[in-house]
Amino acid sequence: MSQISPQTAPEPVSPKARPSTWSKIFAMREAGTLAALVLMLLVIAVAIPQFRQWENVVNITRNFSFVGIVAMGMTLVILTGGIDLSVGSVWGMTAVLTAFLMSNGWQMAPAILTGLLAAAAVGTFNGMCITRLNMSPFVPTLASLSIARALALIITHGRPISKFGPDQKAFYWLGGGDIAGVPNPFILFVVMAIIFWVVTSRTVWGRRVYAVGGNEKAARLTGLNVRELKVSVYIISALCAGIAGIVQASYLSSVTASLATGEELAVIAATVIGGVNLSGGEGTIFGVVIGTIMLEVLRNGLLLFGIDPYWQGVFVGGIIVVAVSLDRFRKH
Amino acid sequence: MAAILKIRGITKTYPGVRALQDVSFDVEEGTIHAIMGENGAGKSTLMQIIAGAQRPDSGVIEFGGHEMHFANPAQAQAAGIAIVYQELNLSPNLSVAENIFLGIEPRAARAFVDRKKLQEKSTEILRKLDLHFDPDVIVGHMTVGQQQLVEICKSLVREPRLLIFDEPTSSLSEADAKILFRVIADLKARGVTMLYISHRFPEVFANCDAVTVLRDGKHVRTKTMNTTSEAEVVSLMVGRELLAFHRKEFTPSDEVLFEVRSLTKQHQYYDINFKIHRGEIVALAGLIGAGRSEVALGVFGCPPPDTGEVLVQDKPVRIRRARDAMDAGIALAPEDRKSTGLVLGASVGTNVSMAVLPKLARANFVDQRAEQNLVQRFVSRLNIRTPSHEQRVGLLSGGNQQKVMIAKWLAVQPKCLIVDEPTRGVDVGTKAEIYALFDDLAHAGIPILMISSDLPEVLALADRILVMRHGRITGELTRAEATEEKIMHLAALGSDNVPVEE
Repeated sequence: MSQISPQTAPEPVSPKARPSTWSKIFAMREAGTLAALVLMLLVIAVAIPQFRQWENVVNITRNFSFVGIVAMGMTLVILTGGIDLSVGSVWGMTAVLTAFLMSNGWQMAPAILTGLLAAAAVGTFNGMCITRLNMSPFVPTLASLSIARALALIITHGRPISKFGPDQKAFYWLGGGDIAGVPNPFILFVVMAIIFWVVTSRTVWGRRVYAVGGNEKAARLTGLNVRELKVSVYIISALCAGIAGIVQASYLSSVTASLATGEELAVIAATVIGGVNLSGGEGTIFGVVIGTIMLEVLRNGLLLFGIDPYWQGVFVGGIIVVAVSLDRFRKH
Repeated sequence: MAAILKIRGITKTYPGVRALQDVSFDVEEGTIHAIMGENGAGKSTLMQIIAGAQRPDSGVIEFGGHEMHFANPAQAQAAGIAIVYQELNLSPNLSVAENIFLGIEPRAARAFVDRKKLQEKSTEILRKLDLHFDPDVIVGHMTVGQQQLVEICKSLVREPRLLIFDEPTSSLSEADAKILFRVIADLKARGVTMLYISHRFPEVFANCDAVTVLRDGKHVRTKTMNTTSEAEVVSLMVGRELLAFHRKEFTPSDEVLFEVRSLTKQHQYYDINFKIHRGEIVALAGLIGAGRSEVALGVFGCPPPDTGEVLVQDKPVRIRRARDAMDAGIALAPEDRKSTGLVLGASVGTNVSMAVLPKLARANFVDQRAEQNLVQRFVSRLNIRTPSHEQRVGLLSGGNQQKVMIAKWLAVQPKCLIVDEPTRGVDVGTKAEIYALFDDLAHAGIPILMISSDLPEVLALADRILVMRHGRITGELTRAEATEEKIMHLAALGSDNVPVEE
């Protein structure tokens, strides 16, 4: 029998008394950003009646849905400690490719499928460079940003595409239609957000994403297939960008090669404002949804306030810094 | 002798934790003063305050007769206080010379680094300490032990009057540790006062003049070395008598549960053969760099060996990556829990369940209740002290972090458990708990391969001791015949012919 006397037992870890719903909400990571969003909405809604009008609300929800869809995939990428700079270009490239095929007589379904396949190919390229060639994520996604945009230009020859072939009407419904008055892009965003939230918070795969971002070496030594996981998140990110491109093309009913130029920054801003840590392993889909909405509400609010649109960048940049500082503050 | 350092009433509180409470004691000039205490006792916090890296909430530090209030480490350095941290503060991409003189580079014309002087000065300090490093070698290419010595040089060029060592030998080989002690003796002769934090009783009692014991943030006792003993210090640290650990009476069976044959990997280890029987704990001893961790990683497939066989319960298993090893029932708790063993930013629960998550899930969905139950079981079984399962592992003490990592690997119900330095950076009380745990596991029939540089630990726990040197097994000792000297001989010289002193 060992002669060590065990130290006195610690207080047992007992489940705390059931917290009330309110205290649960306040304790959430996202409490701060949510409060800020609510505040923002109240201020703007009170100050500007146009903001409250149904048409404006519909506009806002549709606008943030595109960025939001892409932000879902970007969140996974950033959670693993990476970054995907190519989403804006893939967004445009997929829109252009799908439109091009349809305007050449293709039916909607195969055109969309091919567009998404092209997006997935870019994602695979990104993932492979990172996992097999050991490149830092910045590098291959920067390359794809350039390549995908160039492909869009090649496909369109610099001209807009406004004809979408035999399935034109059905295609227009995808992004331009609505169900019971709710715009389709928004419905799609909500559905995707729910799926991504469930996957990240409740599945084994989702846990692994956080584990890889939290400590890749430890994840590898726990038997996780880090390579496979990383490649898959880049493919998912590219697919989200592709989906956004297709739906937006449908809404705009006309695409040019410059579609979604620079949108990667809005997507990354939305995830960062939503509390996702750029070094990986931290952040939630719920937070990113709030971040996405906040970004668009800010843009829309500034417009309605009559502020010179050229100043928007200043406000967006400012809110990124404020959001991240508050997050740091909350932690310490 | 005058007291060069007077600590008076130092208190420091972090949110939820009283790190230091009204700590007061004196340090005599020119002495080597040990600071001992369990993990979480407040040693590191106190050292950081002395070195200017933290500000106390209240209390005063008097150094050389003057009251000191350091706003940052630079001020402390300017006053003559330097600290060599456990976690090295070197830039791995710079050379030895550049690291040693980082921030105080000899200048030519104000803006330019005087390369010639830099070379001269660094060669000088290296020669003074009899270190055979090329000052132009990039630090990132050196071993941890060598980096530690560079770190010490870095502190010494600033000619401190008080030098603080935080666990300096934890990553040093015996040879490097000897160099360190020589340096320390040298410094003492030159009148430098030193504070020495260490868990290692033999070296503390061999080298230090006085010892201060902290417990739970409070000062317990300060005594000169010749008025105290190891047993007394230990009891002061834990507040009770701690006798040597003895394993339960048990003879391992003949059944071989784990076997390794002719394991070889170029430049790392050669022709490794051993068996572990039911009920046995086998220790793998050796100096740093002997290849022990590499063998463990090889068995685990990270990376796999070039040639050789691994057999679990007599069945050969093909291991190309971690997944294969885990499927075969092999578990590895790696050497560095912070960088490769745990996800510090994640919760206790997430870390404990990480390796076994697929078994707690249906169709990829995690069964939260099953997970909670599992985590609770292991938290109580291993006595992991944490306010809740959601607590970020990075905020736990070293001993509890180690327990979380061990729990993670016990959760997979392994057929063989490999632990690399299971009690490094772990306090005495938790060490005892871990030893008892290993004892129970061995009894339950789980073969344990334990890599350890702590010889008393090896002698207390192991049924058999394999010693490695330069990638090969140089000898095997049973518990009955093993002594520290024999192990050291096999580890350092490759033979167990310990000369008998007449």
